[in-house]
Amino acid sequence: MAAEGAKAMRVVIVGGGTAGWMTAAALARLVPAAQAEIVLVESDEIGIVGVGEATLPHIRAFNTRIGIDEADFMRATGATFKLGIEFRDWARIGDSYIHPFGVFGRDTDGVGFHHYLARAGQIERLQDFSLPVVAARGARFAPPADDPESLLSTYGYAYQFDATRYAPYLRVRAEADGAQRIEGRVVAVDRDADGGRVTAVRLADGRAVAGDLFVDCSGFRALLIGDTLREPFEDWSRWLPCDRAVAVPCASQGPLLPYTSAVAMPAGWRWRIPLQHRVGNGYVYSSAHVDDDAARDALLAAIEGPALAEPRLLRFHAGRRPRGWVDNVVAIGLAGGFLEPLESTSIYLIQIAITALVELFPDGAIDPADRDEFNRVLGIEYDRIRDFLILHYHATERDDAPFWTRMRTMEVPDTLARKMALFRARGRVETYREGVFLEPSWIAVYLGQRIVPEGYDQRADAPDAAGLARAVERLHAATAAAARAMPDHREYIATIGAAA
Amino acid sequence: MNAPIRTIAVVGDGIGAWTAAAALAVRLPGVRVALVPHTARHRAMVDTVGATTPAALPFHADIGWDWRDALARTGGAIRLGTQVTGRDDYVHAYGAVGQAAGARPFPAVWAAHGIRPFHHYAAGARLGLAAKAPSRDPALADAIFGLVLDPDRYARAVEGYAQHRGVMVPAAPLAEVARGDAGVAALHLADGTHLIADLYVDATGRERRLATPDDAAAWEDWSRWFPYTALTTATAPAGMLLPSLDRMTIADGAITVASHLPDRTIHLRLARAGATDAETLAPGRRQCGWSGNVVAVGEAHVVLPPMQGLPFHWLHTGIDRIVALLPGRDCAAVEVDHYNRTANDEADRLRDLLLAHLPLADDAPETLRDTVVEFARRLRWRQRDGEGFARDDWAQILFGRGIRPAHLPDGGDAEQGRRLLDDIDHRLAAAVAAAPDHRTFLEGLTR
Repeated sequence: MAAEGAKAMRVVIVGGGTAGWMTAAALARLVPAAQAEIVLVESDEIGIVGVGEATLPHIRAFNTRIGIDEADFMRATGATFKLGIEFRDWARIGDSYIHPFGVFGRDTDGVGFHHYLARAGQIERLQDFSLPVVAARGARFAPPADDPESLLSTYGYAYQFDATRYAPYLRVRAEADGAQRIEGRVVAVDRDADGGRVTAVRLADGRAVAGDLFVDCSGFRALLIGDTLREPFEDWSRWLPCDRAVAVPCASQGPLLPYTSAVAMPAGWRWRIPLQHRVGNGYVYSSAHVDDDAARDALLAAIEGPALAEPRLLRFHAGRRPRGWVDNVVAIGLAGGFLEPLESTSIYLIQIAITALVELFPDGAIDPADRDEFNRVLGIEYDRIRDFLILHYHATERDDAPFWTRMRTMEVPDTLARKMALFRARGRVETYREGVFLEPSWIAVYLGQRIVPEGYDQRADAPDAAGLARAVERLHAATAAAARAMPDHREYIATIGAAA
Repeated sequence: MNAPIRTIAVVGDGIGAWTAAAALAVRLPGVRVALVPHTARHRAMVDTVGATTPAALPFHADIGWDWRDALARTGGAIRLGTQVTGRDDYVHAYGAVGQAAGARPFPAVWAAHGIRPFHHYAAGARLGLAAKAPSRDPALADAIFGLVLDPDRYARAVEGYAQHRGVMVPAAPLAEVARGDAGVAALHLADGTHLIADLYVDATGRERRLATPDDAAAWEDWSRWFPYTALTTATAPAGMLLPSLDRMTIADGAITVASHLPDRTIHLRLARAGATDAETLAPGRRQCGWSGNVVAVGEAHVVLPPMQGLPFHWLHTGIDRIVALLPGRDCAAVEVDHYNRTANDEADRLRDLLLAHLPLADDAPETLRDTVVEFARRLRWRQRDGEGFARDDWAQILFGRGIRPAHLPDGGDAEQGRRLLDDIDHRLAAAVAAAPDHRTFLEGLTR
């Protein structure tokens, strides 16, 4: 609620990629017009990076809040459903596991299912007790159910979509909700007399766009937060040395898979994101371990169908700015930080920043406490995702390439080292109240990366061995049957009218 | 592989010790539990006043003893929360308050449009103010409650239950603790025998009989924030109407708490300056609840004043944590450290909740300051690691203290907001009118 007589705050969003239009659409919809006037400055000359094609289930809440119809959105962006992320060749060449958006088996008497499986000496079968894993492997999809007794309540889902189409799709909504788009390239930034807050951005044609609050969605350029305000960048490349990616779409072959794949490569990893009309591919690599041409060739050799475009090269550094909100500038998206899309967190991080900005939206003057709270929330998210990503690289047995030897032998943050040791001891997961990735995600990746617990929760000894074995087999059969009963993924998309 | 724990010796003799022994014996398969009697130097708070939080209900279910049976056997009551008077005037009842208006949380709707107190929209508070108990009416589904146990009768009952579930009791009490590299090497008993276990549970309360001098010295004193440390206790006969809320009066000089049993009311007074007959009860916690092969429960780890059922709450959640995080026989550092981190997180959140009843001190713990400041700015509440209570528990206390948001969040349309508040009010009024009074409810449990 705006203070009596306060005028609407003019918000200038600089950059019209995924971050910019997500921000514009959300602010235009969720902040009352009396409180905010939304302007977005973008230039058609500048392309969208669009690495974030794969998402986490949280995207659904975002779309719902801004009133997006699922089938309409899927048609417009060529979207497919996503039940998880497959990791291939990570701990050992030949390995494959899925990090599903769902739980494993059934917890009983407060004890995690994986403890019972460990007691039965079968923990390596854990993947078979995840309905989204089994369904994903079979290229099947059905929406989750509400009934907690049903296996269909044990998972969530996200989307894989064409990020270059998501921004234009959101633009239509943002403009309908009152956001104003200004075409132009920002060439200079005006600040007030004492060199503090930003007052306006100047465009190539000489116009000045003035504002009260600026949202820096200019991507890696970080036009306002970096170039202008000089907020430093905390570099995490000692743990996450991949600094380039080469991306190319190709025609798809075979069934339409409801999961993204991340395949370990000699100097990084390769993504495969199946969309309705094509497959997105990319090789994320460490330039210290492979040169650009070799990376490009390796990617082109690995893709399943003819390339549909010229490969594009992206450069980045893992890390974040300690403060995403400085003075009257809020960085959202790549301007604020970058974590490689190994766990599909790019769009999630944009969404978290937008949610925090909406909740902390100034009513009148900017309260420094709001800035601090924004920076705290984002900081926790980045730090926890960072540890989760490092886990994938570090917990490996691979010694077939210098890159993997480096990752295996590097020193990891203490916060991660103790989490890994705790799981190795007895299959326990250090959980937290704030931050993405809950216990099942950590279990999936620990086990997938071959961190096998030496012990298990003693309470798992309660059932008699034969009874436990029968219960395990029953659950296994029920999971397989529930997956078989799901429709084919592509057919389901057509059924709900979501086919492009 | 690290061998599992097969034997546990609990040292102590109060409700804390017997409760721990019973729970460990029932919930840990393949483990034998002995209770070594040791008469504590101080009477623990759980042995003085039987107020629990709602955590007592699942706790009893987990140890296979239905809470209704426990109440019926020992003559206890229920408590829906606490009525606070004195400096402020409010009710803290357990459970969710009001209902969200779409994406708009109820506290924001109330802060924008509410005229009656916040707790007026809490089912538990409405029942409690009428000395009633929940019925099955869905309008009262949010009203959850803790128990008020009769300390004397419950102590005997839980002792009997523990023995019934296989807890062994040696013939003689503790005489001497023999120490070793891992912590305790053996317990020497008064009859010259000794007892060796894989794990020792220190349930000797504030005496901390099993702690090494170093562990006992690593004490974080909370009385600089909570100076009400002079405790006196009194008992009065119960009135005809049996309240289903504790009553707590907070004044500058003293805090008084009245806990209601069917046959008597237990009055506690916590004063700033010690009267001659007062016992000193300084709240605080040990740095390491678990050290080597010794783990402390209840007051041996954290001392909490008898407000809001916190001493029992800590006992129950602490025992749950030992069960859930039991390490192997070697008590590996990685597992014990994890236990201590999570235990201390929770203890510190309870400390913050306790201190939230008082004006925010200049030197208040940073986590409490953040919580209060964020709430006071924008009604934001963050669930920190270790938090055992919910947003609406905090909201009732902070609103009750008179805190209002500086930046009022969007409370939505005024007319819709007021209609929502009126609807909730009417629904609660009708449901409370038809609900049983507290005594009738308790009689129903035994039938």
